[in-house]
Amino acid sequence: MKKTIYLLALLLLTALSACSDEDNGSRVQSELMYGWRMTAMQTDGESADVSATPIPELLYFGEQSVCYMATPVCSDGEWSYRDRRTAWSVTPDGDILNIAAMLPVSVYIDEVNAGKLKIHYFEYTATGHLSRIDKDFIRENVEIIDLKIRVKE
Amino acid sequence: MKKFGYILLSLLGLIVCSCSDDVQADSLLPGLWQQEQVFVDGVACDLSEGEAATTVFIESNGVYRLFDGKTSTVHPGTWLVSDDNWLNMSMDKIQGKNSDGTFRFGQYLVRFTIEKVTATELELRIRTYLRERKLTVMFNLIGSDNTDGMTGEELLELDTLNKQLHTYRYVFKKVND
Repeated sequence: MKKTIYLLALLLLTALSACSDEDNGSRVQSELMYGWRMTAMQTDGESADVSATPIPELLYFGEQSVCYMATPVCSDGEWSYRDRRTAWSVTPDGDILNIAAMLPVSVYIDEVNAGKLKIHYFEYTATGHLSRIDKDFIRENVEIIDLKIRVKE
Repeated sequence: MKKFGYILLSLLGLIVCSCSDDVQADSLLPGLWQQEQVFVDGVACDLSEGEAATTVFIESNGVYRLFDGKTSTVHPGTWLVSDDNWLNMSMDKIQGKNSDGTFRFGQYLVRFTIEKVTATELELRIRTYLRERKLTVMFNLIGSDNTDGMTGEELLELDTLNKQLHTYRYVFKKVND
């Protein structure tokens, strides 16, 4: 009887330690779902003026690991979206968000809840400096039209 | 009963000890590393400005990016620690040339021995053929041999040279945030 109790206690401890990370990953995954709009951006601590961009950057994390990205780009003074339909996943500990279109860049989740998302990632410049980019997002009601996300009016 | 308890504790201890090295390397490797020194067969090489500016950014999800300071090119890949002290990295290797004359790369698995890894230092060692070293971005691109105009004898000499084994040791220091 005692042998059984010791063995069960050991198995329970092992299972609990493995589960705790997975719980956080599942929580983060569920909090990330659906649409987000970028409200702030910093590069190496310096803020960028996002209000100067007439159309906001959008993200959408959907079912079946499908992710939509709408990134504003300016060409000849005209703003438009660069649209991408890609895949996403979260590491079991909930710390890193993998977006296929951004790989090999890994996205770190600083904070995520029902209304706020804060992420950061790193990119090399042409001269070899590793820049840190921080982005803040808030919830946005978006719709998918022709495999592109747009703010729902 | 006592025997059973001792066996269980020993088993637990073995599991913890066998995991510790992997966990340690896995947790120490992520970060930005700058190439500090390269040894070939135990002899230190003088690093060029570009080689000294070479950095490797290792991320905890198994992805890394290498900035080759010689060519100012970013080479991505994956990494994995196995069997306590081996660092397996997928690295870019020359597979041919594009129509514009630039190199065409493919990913190739390279296994380094982790000689040392601390919070500030990383030393990797590999023993490989000279030809493999020339073709692989490890951690700077040397490039394939230009055999234009070479005689048969010269080509044979070059082939013999390329088939020699050498031990390469790479020393990196952690770059503070």
